[in-house]
Amino acid sequence: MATQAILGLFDDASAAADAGDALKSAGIPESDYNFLTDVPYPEGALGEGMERHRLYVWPLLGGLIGLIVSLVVAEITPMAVPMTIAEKPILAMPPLAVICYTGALLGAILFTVVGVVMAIRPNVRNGLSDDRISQGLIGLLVNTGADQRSQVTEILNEAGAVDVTTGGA
Amino acid sequence: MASETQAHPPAADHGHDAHEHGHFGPEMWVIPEAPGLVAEVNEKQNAPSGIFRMVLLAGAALTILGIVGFVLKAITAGFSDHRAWGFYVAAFAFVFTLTASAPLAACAFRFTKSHWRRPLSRIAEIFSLVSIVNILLFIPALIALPDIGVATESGELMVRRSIWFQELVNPSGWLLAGMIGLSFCSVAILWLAALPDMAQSRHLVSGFRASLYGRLAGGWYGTKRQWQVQKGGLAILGALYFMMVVFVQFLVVSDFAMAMIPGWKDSILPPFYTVISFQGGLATILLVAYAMRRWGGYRDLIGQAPFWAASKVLLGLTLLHTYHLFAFFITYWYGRLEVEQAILNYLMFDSYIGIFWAQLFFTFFIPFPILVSNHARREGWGAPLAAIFIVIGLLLWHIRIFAAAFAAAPAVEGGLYYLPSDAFSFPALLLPVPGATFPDLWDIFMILGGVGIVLLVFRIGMMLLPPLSLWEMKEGSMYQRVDTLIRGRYLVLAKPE
Repeated sequence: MATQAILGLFDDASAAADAGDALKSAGIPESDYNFLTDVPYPEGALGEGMERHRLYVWPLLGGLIGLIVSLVVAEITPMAVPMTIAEKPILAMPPLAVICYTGALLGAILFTVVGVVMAIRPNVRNGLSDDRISQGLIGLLVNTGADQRSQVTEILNEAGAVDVTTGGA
Repeated sequence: MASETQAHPPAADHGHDAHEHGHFGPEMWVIPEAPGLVAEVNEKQNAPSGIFRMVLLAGAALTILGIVGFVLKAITAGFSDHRAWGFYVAAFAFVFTLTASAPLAACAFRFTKSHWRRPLSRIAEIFSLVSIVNILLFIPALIALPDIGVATESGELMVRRSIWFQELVNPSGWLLAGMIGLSFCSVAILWLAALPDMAQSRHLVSGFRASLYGRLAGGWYGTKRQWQVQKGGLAILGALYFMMVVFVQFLVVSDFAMAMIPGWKDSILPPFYTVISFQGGLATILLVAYAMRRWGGYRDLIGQAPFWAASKVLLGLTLLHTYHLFAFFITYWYGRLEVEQAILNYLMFDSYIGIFWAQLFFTFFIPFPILVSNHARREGWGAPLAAIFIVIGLLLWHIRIFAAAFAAAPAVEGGLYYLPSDAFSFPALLLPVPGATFPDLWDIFMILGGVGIVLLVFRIGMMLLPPLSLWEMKEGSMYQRVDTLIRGRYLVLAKPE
């Protein structure tokens, strides 16, 4: 079923939180609505559920791959161009550690950026926003079917939305 | 649109000023009105004050001078003798030192969740753009760096001591990779931190900036999940940046300073260099913030509190700098090996004695009393004034260390190089102690160009991106207010985490 985006704008954070509670009571799944804010509100301030992300996996994965790649490259290089100096071994751990650290960090940074780019994509089905959010209004974006449209609009208005707009299909 | 601020809240009705006689009252804080902040900053950005135009012109002029100096140096000296490039390497290292640590300040103070850092964050992050220039500046320095192993005419291998011993003939690839990684990380931090601000400013800008903001922040809605990913991403990238910047500083100072002076083995130098970099980075941020506040029209958005708070950190770093300098000196002075005495004489008490004492005055004897003074710290001008001396002192430090290191020894056997069998048998010596090397005209141009390119790129960054971290300042407004307790007016801070 096609969904539609309804955006309620609130000038009071408590009213926005009340609207969220009312939507929850009306059986709208939490995944179907999002608070849009111009600042990060503290955890749970708007009564929304906990959002989890697994960003920490990316640097670990990237670091491991970077470490392996740099280890291979750093072992191949002295084998290809050996420099025999006095009694020192061809493959010495200290300089190898320098290279491995560089490689591991490069991998971790690269993968973290990839992870961030993927995770930060908007988790809204039908995007709808309003410039007034940048001036402190709180947006409550609801993705809903046509059958619930009037109910959602009523909930937003009753909670004290200063404006309710509809868009997307 | 000018927003109302609580920069100077009215005194309590009780008639008693709790903050008289030099105490630190709420008047030191500026709490901007959040709703109009985006428009206000955008307005200031579109109508820059005269000082910003001056910075742009001066930066462009000095950069051109630097390019001229570089080209003429390359034509007249070539890259075959590394000793000709000592002042260039000093200029590069100076720029790198000041700018590489600046983004770290934003990350570090964000980790501590301090409120006073909010006006400083974006200033620190915009230095990430200079890190792209650092890559370009680094390439000629890598070309000038002598190989670790070279063959003599008779085919024998000569080596010079370095942290890459035996691993690589030329470590330029890994050094460059480290520098690129550092730059990539800092630019990613800048993008992630500026993402909400670019999205919120989209409807107020036009032309190239509108297109840029659309491309970089098109998908930002400000959902809970996006804020969490942004926070997590900034924390992880900040931690990785810290690990990377310290490491690249270790590589730069080891390869371009320590390894270039025969016999210089010093475990204190890399952390010393890192402390210097932190000190220089913070000093530079404070200078920019002060210029923005004093002459740039941002007085109603940047209060005295950031300077007051940061001045204590700067004082700590200044003391740490001097402690490391003393630790370096006393170890060598007590050791009294021939090579240690030679290095002390070369870098401190003979060849570069003038520049050593000048640097010590600029990095410690002048800024220390300024930073210790409560009055100077509180008024907001103390830390920036100390920062001016510190930055000058650090330029002298880089000339004393990097230019001197590159001029210390020729790339021949008995200079930088030893035959493999001799490499560990004979202590490397810097004898006789060489005299000081002075810059020629092209060197001076290149040093000025180094300063100019920082000014130019930073100013362009300020024109392209919101120069203040709008979302952080608005978040700060949510958590701070001035309230009355008994008879005094105080700043009330919320700490949700």
